[in-house]
Amino acid sequence: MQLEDEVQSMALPGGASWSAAMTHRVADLRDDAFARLFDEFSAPIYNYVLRMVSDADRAADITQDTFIKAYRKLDTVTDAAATRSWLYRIATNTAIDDMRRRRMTISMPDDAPAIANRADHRPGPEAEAMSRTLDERVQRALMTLRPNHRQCLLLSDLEDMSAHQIGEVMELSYAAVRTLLCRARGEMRKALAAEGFAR
Amino acid sequence: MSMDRGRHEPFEELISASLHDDLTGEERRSLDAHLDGCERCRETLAAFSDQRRIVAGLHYLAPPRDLEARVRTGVEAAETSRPWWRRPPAIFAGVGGGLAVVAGALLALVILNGSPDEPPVGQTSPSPSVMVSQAPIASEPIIESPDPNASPAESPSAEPEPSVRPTPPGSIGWGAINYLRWEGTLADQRLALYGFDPATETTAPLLDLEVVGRPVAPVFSPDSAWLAYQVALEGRGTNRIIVVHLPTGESYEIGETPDASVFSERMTWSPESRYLAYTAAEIDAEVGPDAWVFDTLDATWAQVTDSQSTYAASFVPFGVDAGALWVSEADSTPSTHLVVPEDLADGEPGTVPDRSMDFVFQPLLSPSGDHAIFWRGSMRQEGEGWAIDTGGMLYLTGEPVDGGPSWSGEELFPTLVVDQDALGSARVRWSYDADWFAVFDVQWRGTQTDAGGSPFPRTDAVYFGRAVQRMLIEDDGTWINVTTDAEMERPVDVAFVPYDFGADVPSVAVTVFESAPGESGDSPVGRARLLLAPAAGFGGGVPEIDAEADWVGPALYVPQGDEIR
Repeated sequence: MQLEDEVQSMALPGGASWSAAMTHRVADLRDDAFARLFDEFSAPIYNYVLRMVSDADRAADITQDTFIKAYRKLDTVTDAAATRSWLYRIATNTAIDDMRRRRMTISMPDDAPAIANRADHRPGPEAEAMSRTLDERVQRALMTLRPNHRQCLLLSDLEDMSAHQIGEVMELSYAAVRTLLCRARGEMRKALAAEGFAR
Repeated sequence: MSMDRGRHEPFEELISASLHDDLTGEERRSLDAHLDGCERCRETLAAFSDQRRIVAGLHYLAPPRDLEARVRTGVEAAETSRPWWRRPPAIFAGVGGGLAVVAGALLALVILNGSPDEPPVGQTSPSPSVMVSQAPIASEPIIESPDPNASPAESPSAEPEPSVRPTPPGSIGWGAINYLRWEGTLADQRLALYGFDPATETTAPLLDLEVVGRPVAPVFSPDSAWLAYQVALEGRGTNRIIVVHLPTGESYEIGETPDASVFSERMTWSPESRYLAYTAAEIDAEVGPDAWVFDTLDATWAQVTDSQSTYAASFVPFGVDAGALWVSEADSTPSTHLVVPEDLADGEPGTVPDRSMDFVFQPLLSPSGDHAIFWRGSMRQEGEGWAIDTGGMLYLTGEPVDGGPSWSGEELFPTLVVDQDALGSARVRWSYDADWFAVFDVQWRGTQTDAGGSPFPRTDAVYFGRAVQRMLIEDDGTWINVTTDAEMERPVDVAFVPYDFGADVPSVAVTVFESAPGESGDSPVGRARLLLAPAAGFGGGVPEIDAEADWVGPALYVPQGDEIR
């Protein structure tokens, strides 16, 4: 790990990677703020997008674009409390753009386990195999939902956002979010049943 | 079956919300009481709870190791590249092979509010192209406007006290009701500026315009010395942009819009009347929209932004930012930026805009600058232009802060539920009193609601609101319908004018497009009528201006100084 970081820092102009070293070394509040933003949100945004598009490479691209856009617009954030919603909103819009460009509605073919075989920190092979299967089934169910239903459900249940926060991300009123979320749950209930989940 | 389902549906929404503890006390009591006696809803609650647990339990995966490096590289590239608002030196004037003008014709008789012997226009242009000019006409007696000695460079707030309003039809600009009239055959068209006298209900031609075609979005400069307008290029789906120096009749064709959308139509004058900001694209070169500025001092025009996705929005009329220009960048996440006036003056924007706002697109400032109506929503590219994609809605800013808009907006249509495809397009016009505003040509993509037997919102209605009085556009709000056949007629422009209906509300001149028989409502084939109406609605017939002509409108009105708050 340490070796990799060193190699990376040599390859990049400016030396160290962002995160801690960069934060302490560069007396630039903008970069400092952005470094914190990236540290805190890169993994959650990546996972949210991954569940949206069901493709690890595309999720990485969308996450990358999201943070580049965020950096460019960093000066527009005046309310620190709204930063999370703001960032998810950029990610959501970027993902929607990507899906539109690719005309993707439902994917994740059986021969392309796009998510499940990415490296992560799960325990032992048996547990990994079981949870992979579970993840795949849930992901397949998610991908049958309409994109806005999928967004709403993921923001609610994966990201644990309130209806107000979801409204900020999706640019919907509080009432519209409640209605949309209920419809999404109804759709997901059927989709999970089709994947063999009880109820 | 459907009745049974309908009985449970409201509770399903409560069940869904209950998973977040997102219920009011009353909702909680109502749900609990229902669950006690409803097996089906108890099952739904269990299923939704399981579902939430299952989704929340999805494995959290680590992002790729190189993500940080990729973002860093992208950010550095963005930092070292030229900021989007900078103007590329290589591009200066002559949009799309644009035309400059040397129009030698004189308009001897028309006496404008500005000084006719002080044309601030140079005789050369960066582009060598020349447009043939014809002498403007003044076939009717021209009556002098209130203050012929006023400088064109003065702001409207500095104008002298008005005399009798409105002024007779022989005047252009301040206090006069003017309008455009388009007529003739395809091969022999004529577009002219007319005046209307509400006292006698007579009209008079004032000025023939060089560039002819279906007129769109005309706007006078605040000093009434210049007219900017667009004509539709029907075959290209875009508009040609023209600015005319009224005392001399000199015309300058200064660009082509990226499309014929409401965003592209927006043209805005700086408060001292020096600059016209507009949005142009190079369609044939597939170069997208950017904000441009026409400088009346030397009749040159220059590109202000360089993003191929930026639209002119509004000049700030008053206050500490007076003379600065809001421009908006279209994107899935649109944003708005302030370009300071010094950057416009030296033609080489070099400083970072001092303020930016995310999720705000093309704010239309009120004449006082206190309020703004702006768009929110995700946008997508369509051809060379941009359109609202999802979540679109107009917003009205709240109480002014430090003499300017607060930008904490309220939904302009509070009774409409914004879903993924909401308000796609609408046109907005402020009244000169800086309180009333009109919204029309409303393209609502959701389901219309029932407003007392009438669908809401309608495409053939003109809706009214008030910024100072916080009157938003609701389904039981103030609106007028000036059409008799919604399929064939629709309002295409609205101007607030001082026509006295004896009501305690302002009046408007509405340009109503009528499709020709056999044509669809979107076809440009047809005619336009210019109707006068009070904002509170009306019964029976309303006055129609120039009823015999083929195409009348849009109307224009420049307030005199004391009419702006």
